[in-house]
Amino acid sequence: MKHLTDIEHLSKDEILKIINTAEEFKNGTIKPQIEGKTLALMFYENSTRTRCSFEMAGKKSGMNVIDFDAPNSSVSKGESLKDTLENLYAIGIDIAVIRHSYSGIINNIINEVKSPVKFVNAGDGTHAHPSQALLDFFTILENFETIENKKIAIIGDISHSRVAKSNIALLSKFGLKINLCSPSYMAFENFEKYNAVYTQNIKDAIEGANIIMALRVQNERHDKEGYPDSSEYKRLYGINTQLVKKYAADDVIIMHPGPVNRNVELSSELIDSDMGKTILEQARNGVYVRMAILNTLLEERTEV
Amino acid sequence: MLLKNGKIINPEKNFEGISDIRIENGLIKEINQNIQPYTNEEIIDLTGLIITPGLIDMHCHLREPGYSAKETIKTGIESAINGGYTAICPMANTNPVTDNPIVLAYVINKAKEISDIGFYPICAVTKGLNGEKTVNVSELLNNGAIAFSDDGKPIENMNILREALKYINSFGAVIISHSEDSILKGKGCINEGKMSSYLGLKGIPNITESIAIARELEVVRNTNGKYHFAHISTKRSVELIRQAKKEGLRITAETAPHYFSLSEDDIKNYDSIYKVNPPLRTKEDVKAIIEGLQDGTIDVIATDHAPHCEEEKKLPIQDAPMGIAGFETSLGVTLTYLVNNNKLSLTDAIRKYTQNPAKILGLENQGKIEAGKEANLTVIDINKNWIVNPSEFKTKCKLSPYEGYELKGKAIMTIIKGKIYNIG
Repeated sequence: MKHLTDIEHLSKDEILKIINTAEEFKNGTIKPQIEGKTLALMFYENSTRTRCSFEMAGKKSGMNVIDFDAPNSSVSKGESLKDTLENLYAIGIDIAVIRHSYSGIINNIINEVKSPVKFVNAGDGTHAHPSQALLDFFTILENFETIENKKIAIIGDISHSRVAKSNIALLSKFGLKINLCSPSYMAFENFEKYNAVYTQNIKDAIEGANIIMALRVQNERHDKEGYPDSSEYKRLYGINTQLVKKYAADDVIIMHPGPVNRNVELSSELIDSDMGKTILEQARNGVYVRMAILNTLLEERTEV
Repeated sequence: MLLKNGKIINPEKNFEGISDIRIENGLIKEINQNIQPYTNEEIIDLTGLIITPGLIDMHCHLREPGYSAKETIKTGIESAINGGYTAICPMANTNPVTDNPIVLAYVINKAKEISDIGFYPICAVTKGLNGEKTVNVSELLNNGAIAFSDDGKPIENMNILREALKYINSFGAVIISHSEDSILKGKGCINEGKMSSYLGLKGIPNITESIAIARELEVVRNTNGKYHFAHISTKRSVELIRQAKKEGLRITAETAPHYFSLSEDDIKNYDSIYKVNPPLRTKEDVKAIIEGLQDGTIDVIATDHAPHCEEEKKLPIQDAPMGIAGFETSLGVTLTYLVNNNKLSLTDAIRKYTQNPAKILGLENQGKIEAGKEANLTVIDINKNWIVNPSEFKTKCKLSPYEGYELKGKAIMTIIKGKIYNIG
């Protein structure tokens, strides 16, 4: 793994290596090997969880963390991302964790940047959010003895969700059964490619599901007017305890990449229930998974 | 000067055969088999090569005045000649817009300084391309305008389009339509569909084009207008135009090589080199475009040569401007993907580069091989294999989605008013 741009570019072995490394960090059986390396957080788009999680992962790994102030940087003076990266490498960063509102911005420049800086995609537009998918997979593996025949229902704004797309790409590699559920205007065109099933009926989607992953409605990415308002969405796609108990499997866990809009996509009661405790586990696990990502990327560099 | 032993393909006369051509004072003097040379007459042996009427590009952007970092009239003309063209029609979306006699005279004089290429500017339909007030049509026609188009922008007010069409047609001139619904297009970047969904890029739905065509066809029907649709890219557009032609509407249509040779599946690495308007569509659309070319629904292959600076095309795909530089790959792509692929006969392909655009625009001295007319000819090696190397292009835009493609068939000589440009 040279960079982490999206899930499509990872093999199953590379994914499992990250998962296993994360587990060892969590159990304390190995120690990070990248002390003194430098990480730049380049967040061109708002983030709380992912940004803090990468910062924590870097600090726990003994890294120097530079918090790049994108809105007030030379970017606002017209410098291209490529040039910014070359300069940051010259200054001494080893790894750039980038979030951007533009899909594919990292894929686009990866072959142009001459410096051997490493990239981590921390979410690009509506394209990919691979570290989130990896931590979600880690959390799923923690919660089930086996993932064989497990079924996940991903519900909500799939077409605008980079989290959903990376999860679909990852979980399909490992053979999970994927049900996708959304109103028509949030549907994902390529579900067949991943052997996923698409339905607009939430009951069908969560029938027998072992994992329910709810998504936030990405209002900020809806540039076309005319969608019904959120009360209509909630009426049709809001997930509550009764619905889950009636249709989902007994061992069901509730996941959400955050931030949650309580009582829109998930009822408050469900979030605070035993089934919903996984949501905070995701946040907790995120740190270890991101430590594993940083260590894997930088270790490989010293090997070369 | 005597062109010997070339195979003439002259779609206008449905003529195909080996013949010699004598050129004197820039005009075609004689076309005959085995013309005996005069003493000291220059003889050019074209054995094994094809001579066609000079290629015409009825849709290109030369960027000058206003955007000479992208292209100038000089580099644009050099690029066109290097692609085998003897006539070009630059669009009006310059800065200032070519909507008045001063800018029109500027571009025409500039072109004259550079070469004798047939230079037929298309003027704006509406002043400033604002879609509001029709230009002074008569004055522009008297000063060298060949047709009218707001290309780059659609005219979305049907009242204005209707009145402009009636008025422009009353002088015998045609409107060339950039058919697009700007609201449906929105901030779209590539074709809406599986690829845009997969890449997470905003899509341009295919009905952005066809819905505008459907609406404009009603205006044409209502006015019995003469109307030309530029850069057709979708299956539904082909169907609409095919049906309307059957019903007798006075319409013609054009496509560009990238719409029958590339699809959205070719988009790689979020590279804006593939960003063009209309966008590269699906394989199904490509198939429909080829069928439209085969059955005559699409009359013309034009380049929509739309050069941009490398810095601009290196921007993230969301910010980069739309456009592909097309002069120097157009014929090669057509010969490779249509002719040498047995989708279209050479005569039919050449017809869409010569006879048809000449007829639509009423060009007297282009699209013909005829004694007494200007010697505007293109010499083609149909079997020449070549690899597209944009760094060798004459256009300022050294970028092409065809970079590294191996093409079969190339123009090797452009003859403008008897002057030979070797472009092997």
